[in-house]
Amino acid sequence: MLFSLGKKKNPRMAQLKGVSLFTDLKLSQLRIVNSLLHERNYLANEIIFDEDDEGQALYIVISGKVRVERVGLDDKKNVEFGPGEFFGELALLEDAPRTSTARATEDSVLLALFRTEFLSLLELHSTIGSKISYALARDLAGKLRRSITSNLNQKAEA
Amino acid sequence: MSKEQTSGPVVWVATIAATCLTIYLFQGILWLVVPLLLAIILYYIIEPVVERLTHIGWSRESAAGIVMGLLAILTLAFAVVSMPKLVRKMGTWNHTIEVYIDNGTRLIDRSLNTIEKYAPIVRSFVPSREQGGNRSWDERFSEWAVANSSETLVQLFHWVPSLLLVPYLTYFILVDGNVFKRFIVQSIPNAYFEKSLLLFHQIDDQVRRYFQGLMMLAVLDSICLGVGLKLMGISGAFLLAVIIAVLSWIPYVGSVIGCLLVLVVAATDYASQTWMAYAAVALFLGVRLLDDFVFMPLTVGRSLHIHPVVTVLMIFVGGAVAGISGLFLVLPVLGVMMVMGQLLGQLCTNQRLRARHEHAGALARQRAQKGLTL
Repeated sequence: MLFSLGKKKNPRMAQLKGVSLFTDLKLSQLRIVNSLLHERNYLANEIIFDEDDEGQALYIVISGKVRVERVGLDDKKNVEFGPGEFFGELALLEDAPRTSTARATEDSVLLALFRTEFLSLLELHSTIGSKISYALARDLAGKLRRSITSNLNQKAEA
Repeated sequence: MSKEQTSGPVVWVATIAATCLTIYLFQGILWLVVPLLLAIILYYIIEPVVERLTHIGWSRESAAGIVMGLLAILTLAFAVVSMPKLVRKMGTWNHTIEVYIDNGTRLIDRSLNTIEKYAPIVRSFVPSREQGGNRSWDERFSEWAVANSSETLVQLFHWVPSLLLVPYLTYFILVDGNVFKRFIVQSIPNAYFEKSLLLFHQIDDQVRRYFQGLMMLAVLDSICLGVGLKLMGISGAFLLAVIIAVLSWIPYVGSVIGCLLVLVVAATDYASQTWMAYAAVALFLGVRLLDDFVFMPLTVGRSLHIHPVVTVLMIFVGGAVAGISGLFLVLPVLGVMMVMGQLLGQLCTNQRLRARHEHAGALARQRAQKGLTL
């Protein structure tokens, strides 16, 4: 990678295009984002981050499966993420402890986007930063809506 | 883990020992260490310009190339303009240095005589010309300085080829710095990855602010001191101001040398007016105060946070271990070692991270041993 000759077609671009966070980005913009991502390989059952860790990065699942669980929470409420999905997004928005533990349930390849790098993206490439921020807000709005609906359903059932 | 977690005594002792060892080892490869350090400083100074150019659509290679090219052209133009003048002056260099040192020591001698006149007790502490018929300290110092000045200048010229590495290294740090950083980060185990990268970012941010602040501080110092010395009619006011501003990068010791330089130059330019030399020193002290209370908090405010006592001690240790190069290198090296010590201290003492790392290792071992039962 460090001493490669010439430009090769990067298969990562197609994978990134499939991530909802980056669907609005052009190929040239995806290249800039790709230069900021860190690829990590996890074995099945390996912990990615712990509850109460300092949250610093958002993780995108490229392959494999990741389970995000919380101590004392009903097993049904634990969420599993597959290829193209992302988790730990609150770390991009605030410097707060993680609210849950993430563990790979299969051998997984993940991409990490750090808050500091996201903030520099917002400053230097504001168009890319705003598109990602908008996608993130859209994702959080969807989660909020689902949560409200679920609460209302539970109250109705009660 | 607390963000404010500080290093313990073991980490500090290891940091200081590692700094001394590094400075000692660096002595042998100074021709590479100095250009590399200058390249890193230059990188932090021009990186914002390169970032701006990439922001408006330039590729990183083109942006770095154009900025470095412009810088090279400016340096070359400056060298072409100043070289003939420099060569002309070199012939009389020895004599000029002799005159400056002679006048400086004469001023100190006159000042001591004045003090002795009003406080005779001082005479018993200062060896004077009359005592024992020996030559005084200022004559001996003057002879030593003149004898060594030519050699020092020749040694400075030996550095020119090595300094040509600076733009070359800076260009590649600008273009491939991020790739290299990612290459290094890949080798960090998963358990330590997030914490390590956070600390790397903190180090990078701290060093960037430090060098950019230091350069800004040097510019402000040069302007203030240069204007003041020019108004006083001191020869080569702005060149002298720039030299003093760069010297002040060495805390405490640099200021003392800078003050002596001002004193010597003012004493030579106004040999018959002692008060002008004192006025120049007052100006120097004024700029230093302005520097400490106004410019410093505005520029290098968030710097390395090393305790003043440790700073002074390490400067002397650096000087003792590696001479003049040690004086310049000891603080940047200490800063890097301090952060590395802090990083390793935090990572090694975090039981949970160690447990997670061991767990990941056990999973990998378990997989490697699959089907190998005896």
